[in-house]
Amino acid sequence: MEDLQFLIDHGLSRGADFVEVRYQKRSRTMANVKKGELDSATSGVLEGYGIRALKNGSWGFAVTSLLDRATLLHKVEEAVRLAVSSAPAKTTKSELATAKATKIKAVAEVKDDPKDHSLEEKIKLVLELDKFITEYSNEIASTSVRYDENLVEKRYINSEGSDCYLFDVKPELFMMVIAKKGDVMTEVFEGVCRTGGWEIFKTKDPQAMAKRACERAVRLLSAKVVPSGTHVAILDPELVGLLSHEAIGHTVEADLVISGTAATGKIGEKVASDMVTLVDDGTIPWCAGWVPFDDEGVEGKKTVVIEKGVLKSYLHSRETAAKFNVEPTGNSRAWNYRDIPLIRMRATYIEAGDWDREEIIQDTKDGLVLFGSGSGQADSNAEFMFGVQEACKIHNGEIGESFRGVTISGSAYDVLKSVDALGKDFSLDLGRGYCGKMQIAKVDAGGPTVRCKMLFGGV
Amino acid sequence: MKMEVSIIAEKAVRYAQKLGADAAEAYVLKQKSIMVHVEQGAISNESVQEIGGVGIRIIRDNACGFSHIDKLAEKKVKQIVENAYHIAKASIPDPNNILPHPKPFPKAEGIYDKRIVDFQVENAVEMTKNMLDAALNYDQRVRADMGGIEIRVEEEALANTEGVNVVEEGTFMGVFIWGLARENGEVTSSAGEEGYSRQLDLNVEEIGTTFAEKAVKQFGAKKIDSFEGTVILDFAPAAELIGGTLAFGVRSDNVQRYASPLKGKIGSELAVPQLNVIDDGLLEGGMMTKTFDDEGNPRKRTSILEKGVLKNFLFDTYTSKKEGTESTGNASRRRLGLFFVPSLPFESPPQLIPSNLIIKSGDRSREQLIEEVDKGVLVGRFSGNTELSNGNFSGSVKQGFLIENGEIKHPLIGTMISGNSYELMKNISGISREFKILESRGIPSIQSPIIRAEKMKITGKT
Repeated sequence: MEDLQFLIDHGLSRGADFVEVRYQKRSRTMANVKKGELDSATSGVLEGYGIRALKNGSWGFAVTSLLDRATLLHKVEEAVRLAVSSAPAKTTKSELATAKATKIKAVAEVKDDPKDHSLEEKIKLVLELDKFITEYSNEIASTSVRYDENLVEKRYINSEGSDCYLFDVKPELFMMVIAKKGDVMTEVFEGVCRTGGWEIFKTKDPQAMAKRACERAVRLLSAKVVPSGTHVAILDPELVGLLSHEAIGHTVEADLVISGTAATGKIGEKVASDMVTLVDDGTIPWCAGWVPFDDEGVEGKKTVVIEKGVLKSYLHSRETAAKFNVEPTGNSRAWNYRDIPLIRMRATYIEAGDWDREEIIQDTKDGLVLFGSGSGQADSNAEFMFGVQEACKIHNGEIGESFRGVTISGSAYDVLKSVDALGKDFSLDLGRGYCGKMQIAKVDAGGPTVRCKMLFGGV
Repeated sequence: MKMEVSIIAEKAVRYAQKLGADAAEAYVLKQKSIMVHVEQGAISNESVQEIGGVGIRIIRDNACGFSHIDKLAEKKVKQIVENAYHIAKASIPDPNNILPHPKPFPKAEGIYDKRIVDFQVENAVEMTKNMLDAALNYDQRVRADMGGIEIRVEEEALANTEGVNVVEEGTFMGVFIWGLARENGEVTSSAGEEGYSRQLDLNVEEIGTTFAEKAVKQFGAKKIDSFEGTVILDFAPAAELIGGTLAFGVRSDNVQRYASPLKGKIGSELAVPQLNVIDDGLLEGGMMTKTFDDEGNPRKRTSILEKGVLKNFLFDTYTSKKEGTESTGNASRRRLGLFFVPSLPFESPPQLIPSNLIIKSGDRSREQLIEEVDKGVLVGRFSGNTELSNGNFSGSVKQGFLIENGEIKHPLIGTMISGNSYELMKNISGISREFKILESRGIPSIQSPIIRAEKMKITGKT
């Protein structure tokens, strides 16, 4: 590996207390088909350095996409100069939690390298899926299918002796189906993204996804709108993932905790039903939330956020860990070299319980069983909302009528307190799409089947 | 003297021709930006970034390929010209893949301010501090989670094999502040305020104060019972629920793909006669204003809704070729907003989106809109989903208030609204004189008034 120590030495010689150098090269290939037309086939590379220097508790950040030695030395100086010059305007001093020097080399386990699959093959994959969807029924009005492949090479070194390397591969497939009958139009999404190679399409078959999406889109055309109000809800693993991420996860990101969220000051308190153990985990190598080390060189850990209903930990960067006097959790992440690391989640999930999914349904007198997630948002007061693709009525343990156009809402911790059944089934399958918080980030989320109470607002 | 970006673009196009491209286009961007970030009530970071990049589109046997890189060096640019050429070879032929010919360009006003060019990082830090101080001094219960300022100077060039060869300089400024208020364990719903300009003329103190005011007004939020009644959509939710839905619906690509519900509806009455919407690529000082769009067609003004009647769809070169009409100059490489964005314009091929979408202001003041309401809800922010293919929306009311007998009663929690944007447009009962320029989902620049609508479904406690 290239010797970058000279950059660290240069920063220290210019008076920095701490210097870190991040190199990142992101190569991205995409093919996007919309209703039979290849909308775009693209490839691109973003490669450069992000350099941070800390001096008397003040950060400076410099960025370059030029890779030559002279530019890099100049950028180190710029980072130190910015740290010094902006110090007077900074009312709070940044401190870093002590972290032992990490030496990690992590390479994504790829069985079937996407590089061995030609661009022609990738275009063919999306075109064929598009064709399958279009021909599924004459009620399919429109389609969109996207292949998106991210290869990321990272190097992280700092003045405390950390030196980490990552090679990450994440292929992604996403599809949208729009069906139409008279004035009714329905939209359904499916997708998959994991760490790995072309083999991820064997674990989740694209054609089966397309078929499921088509069936649902067409079925919902004749479905009624869900009755508004509070109902008992049975969530599938995908929705449990969205709940864990949006409703709970964001409230325990330590940067937001400091400003004040529903989780502020609640460590050690009962915040959920005894059944609930919620985790944010960077160590699962196959999922989209695999983060073996973060962009501050902290090793990815399994962080238990809620244990048997009691709030145990927030998600930290080195800086927030110092403020809370705890160990950093490896959640400080940046999307590109030009981005400053922020506290982000990784794979966020609720641990499985001991009910059979069928048993939960049979045990429910009146309620709704929910399938498939839309997009979600959360508020600082823990009020969240997210879209659900389909809801089916349950009466005396029997699944009945389907409803469409469902949005669920609630106060996250009230919902967690209402959890009274957890399934044995478990999956992490929310790798498609991105989480947005100033920058985008790849995250994953999931859990078992969960029964709880929620507010429904139908269209 | 020719600008560097222009020379790079021309060279890239020539190299593509040499490789055997039937048509080629090079987009070159050089930008310098100063960013100051606020986290947890304090300035946390600032950076100066100088980035240059190139995006190449190549058409060969009617098939199109695109490639990009964040470098301007000749060798690197040649590499991606080759990449784009190979992608075009692997790609699928489509006779509508063409590039525009040169046309007369209009003049774009108010898009360059020398004061922004001369702005230094120290000035940006001071400005951020002023915004923050204004917010935090307004009320000690206010917490600013996040915020920032981005000041940007851009040089863009676009050249293609059909003879388009244009260059433009522009300046941009964007600020935002986001947070909440907190007292005795009560956390309010998140509040935010933002401002955008092409000139160095934003009043950051006012932005800070407005944010703080919004946050503290949410203390004591209460649930209400469900009812059907009046809804007043503040600037942002009006932009999202009316602008966002229309923006998707009038894109000719969505119409051609049957994803838009507006297919065949030109000339139809979509809304009350008070609603007028235009796409104005030449709005003076508009955030998306340029002389040319991102594939080299002139920017234009296009009427979308005139007195509630649907007038036009928006076109780019591809969709206009398909339709046998003219481009409306709506190709853009900026899709995810203009500030603090995860991707820069050279990273994407042009896509069809509105330029500056304008929902025209009405004849009421904000106060009048409220005074005339018997029972209703004021929506400060909408946190929900819209199915763009049909206009159905449903979500939580944020920064909301109950209105009774013409007066604001109390802030709201646990309240949802649902409906359909197209029906809402037919139930509009008032439009404000005041307006604001915003970024909204899928629209980098939208100007919106406050809009009042009747017969809306409001779901509260049950």
